[in-house]
Amino acid sequence: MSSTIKLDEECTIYQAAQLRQQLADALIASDSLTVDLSAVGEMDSSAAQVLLWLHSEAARLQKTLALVQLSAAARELLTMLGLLIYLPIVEEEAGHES
Amino acid sequence: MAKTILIVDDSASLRQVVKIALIDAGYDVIEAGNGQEGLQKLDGRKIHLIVSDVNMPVMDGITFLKNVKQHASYKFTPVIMLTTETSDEKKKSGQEAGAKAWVVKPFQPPILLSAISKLILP
Amino acid sequence: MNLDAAKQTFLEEARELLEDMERILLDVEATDTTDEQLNALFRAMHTIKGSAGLFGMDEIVHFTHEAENVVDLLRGGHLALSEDLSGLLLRCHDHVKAMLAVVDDKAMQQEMLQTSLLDELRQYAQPAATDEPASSSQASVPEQGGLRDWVMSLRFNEDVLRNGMDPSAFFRYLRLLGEFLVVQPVLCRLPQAERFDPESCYLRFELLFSSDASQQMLLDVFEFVREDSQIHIFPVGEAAAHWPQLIAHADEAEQAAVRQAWRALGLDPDASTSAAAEPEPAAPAAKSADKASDKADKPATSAAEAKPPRASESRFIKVEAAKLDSLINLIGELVIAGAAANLMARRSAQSALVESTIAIANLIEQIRAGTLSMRMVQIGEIFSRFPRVVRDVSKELGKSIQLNVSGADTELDKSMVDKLGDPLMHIVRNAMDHGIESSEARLAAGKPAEGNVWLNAYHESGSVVIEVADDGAGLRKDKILAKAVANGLVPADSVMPDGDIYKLIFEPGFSTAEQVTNISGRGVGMDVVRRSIEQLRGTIDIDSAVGEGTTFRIRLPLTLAIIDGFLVSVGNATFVIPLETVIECIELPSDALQGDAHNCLNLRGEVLPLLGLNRFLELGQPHAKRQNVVVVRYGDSKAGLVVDELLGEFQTVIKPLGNLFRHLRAISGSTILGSGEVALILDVPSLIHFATSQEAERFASHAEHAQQRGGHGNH
Repeated sequence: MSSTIKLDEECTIYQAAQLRQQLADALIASDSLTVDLSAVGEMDSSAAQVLLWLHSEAARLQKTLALVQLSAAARELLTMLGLLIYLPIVEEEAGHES
Repeated sequence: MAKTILIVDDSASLRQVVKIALIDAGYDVIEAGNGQEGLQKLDGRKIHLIVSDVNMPVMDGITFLKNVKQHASYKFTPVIMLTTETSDEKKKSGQEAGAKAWVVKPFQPPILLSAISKLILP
Repeated sequence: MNLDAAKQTFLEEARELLEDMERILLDVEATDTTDEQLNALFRAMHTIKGSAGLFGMDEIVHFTHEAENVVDLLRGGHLALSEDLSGLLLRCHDHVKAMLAVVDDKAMQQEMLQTSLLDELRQYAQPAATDEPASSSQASVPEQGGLRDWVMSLRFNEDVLRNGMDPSAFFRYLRLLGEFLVVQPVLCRLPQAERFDPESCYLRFELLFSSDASQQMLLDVFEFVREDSQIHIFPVGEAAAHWPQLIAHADEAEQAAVRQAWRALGLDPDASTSAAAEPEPAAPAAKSADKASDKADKPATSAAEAKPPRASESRFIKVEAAKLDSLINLIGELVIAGAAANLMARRSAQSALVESTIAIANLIEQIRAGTLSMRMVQIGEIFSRFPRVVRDVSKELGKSIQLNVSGADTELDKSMVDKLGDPLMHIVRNAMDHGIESSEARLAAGKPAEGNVWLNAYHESGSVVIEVADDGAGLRKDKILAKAVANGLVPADSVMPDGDIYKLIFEPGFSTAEQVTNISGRGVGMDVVRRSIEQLRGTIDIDSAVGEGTTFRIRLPLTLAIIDGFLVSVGNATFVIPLETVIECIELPSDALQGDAHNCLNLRGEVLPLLGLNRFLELGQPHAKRQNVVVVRYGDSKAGLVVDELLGEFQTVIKPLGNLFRHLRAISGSTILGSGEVALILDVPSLIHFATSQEAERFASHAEHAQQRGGHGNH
């Protein structure tokens, strides 16, 4: 079972707790989680950190995680912080592996 | 959309000068004359940074800061406190209230501008 | 909005703060200091300093800084507000005020910094002086040096995000100063599962950065997080040497992670002395295009919190006085134009038109009243200067004097307030200097050692009355008279009412003070006082009782610009009598005024001196068969002005008389009627004076006649 979650426009410290909960729930509920970052307009370090944490959680729980459709804002932040290579970013269209 | 800065200071002239400098730099500015007015500006609108004096009538900057830190929608907003080097005690109580960024009064506008830029760019 | 306007705001603001400061300093002398007062004192210096700094007024910053230090100690309870200290702070207040007055004169400002006040302030500040915290102990590398590569070890405190400091913001700012070569995140601190707190910061970075900024400049980027975080920045070549210092606070796992990161940066942490290898331009160098991010409005998650009612701050808009004056002038013209329209409407006999002009006139009246009230300020604005003056002067004179103020909220025209300060000051100083006796003399006279000066203001029949009273020795009529005779002001054997004798002290060159002091004395001043008051269309009277004290009573019109007038005709001319002086109008009894210009009328048992304006103003014989008496009052005096016709009330703008007519005693101004005609405004006080004194003279000469006749009889 797989699912896709699309992140909201604003991903900052104000949403961090909620974002973490939402992603953690989705990860538990499915074997394969796809996170769509196409709508992200504002992103800060806390959101990047949640994604890093999600990545480690996926590994721990042996689930598949893919970050897709990075918006320019998301890409800019993750690039600047040198985090791109530490995240499971899938550059193609949103994957549908089951 | 320009980023919005709230400046809280009882000196209207200081607010005017700071406002001119910040608007020139590309920020939006809203003003308040003391902590209480400052709290009234926290009405749901997006505020990216707050600059607040410490010593003000009606509600001082430290009390204001404590209130900001309690406010769900604004508690993570960076706050720059304006202070003087003479008020070490105030600084201590400000730090306890969560003030991390200080700019020493008196300052020239570029000093404040660079302090703000470190926390948010226009 | 521009900087000049801001500067104007600053000067105004500083003036208000200084007024507060002065008021508090004078107030606290009497009572205990409250925290609020001390805070306000601090704020005065603090705010002036802060704003002066913005405008580059370094001298004012310098001076207020020293004063602020002392007030801060006061506020912290490290100093007590002794009389000495409050005196010093008052002098500092004066000094700052003086510096603000010459704000554009840099040389003057600098000169004003050469004041002993600073030394005095420092003496207070010394014992508890606190040093500025040393800014940095880390800057070991000489500043400067062109473009070079830096190693940055950024190990943020967990709280930075919660404090609103986003590491990515510092990265963005750094991009303005140089270029990231390699960014190596250190993620070993990121907890797993539930231990992860999304609001804590676990991100740390080791990176190479190329910049021509100095080490200090780069460290300053992190000035707001450095205290709690471990921020290290070194030139690439020196980094290895600092390795031990750098990982001093790191646990083993982090040490290993940082070591690994350094290797990835091409640095060898173990080669303490060897120069680091030149880093390869590694893969994820941050070069992506900046893009402004759009943002949606954040939903208002919490409704506005319950707000306590606003404190009773008054909200004011400051308006340039000239603008208000020109508005009032225009309204004056509007009043005249409105009257003209009403006149035309009446002539046209169209009742609808008449009614609408009346409606307009009503509105104009409201606007007029509203605008005039904008000019009204509380006299407290002047009164507030006096506590200070009384305090200083009584010290100087070695007398103990208490000032009592009442009616400070009485309002009068702003332009009068501005001109009233000096004459009032003179009278008060005079009262303290000459009125109040020395403590010994007072005790000897059975009075309390402490003298009193009263300042009192109130409204009375369209005038503002300001009294300056003292409980001193009172004026000595005999002395005044003797002096006046000696100076040739009055004939040797003159008999005068008390009030007139007292008024002799307003004559130029008159002074009874035996001892000339530098407070008032010297015989200049009182005549100037009277002139200033008269220029405001006011009068000044004196009451005095020997041994009990003296009261100076100044009576002023409410405003200078517009009056409610009562229109009368005399002969072919039309005159305006200020309505506030009119008590009533009666028909002249046919038996009164038989040819003589002066006469009396029995008005309900009261003797009312009459003044026939036809004759007095030399306008020829009355046209009307019946004449009327307008009973006017000024102060305690009344008189009846005999006129031909009563034309009713009329609002009017006072146009000052040209210089040519300045000396006219009976006319105080002119105005233009709705019909376009010019009407003169009668100077009621001088007419009353004329009527009563002529009457008194006549009475005196009657008495003389009677005496002479009596004398004859004895022969």
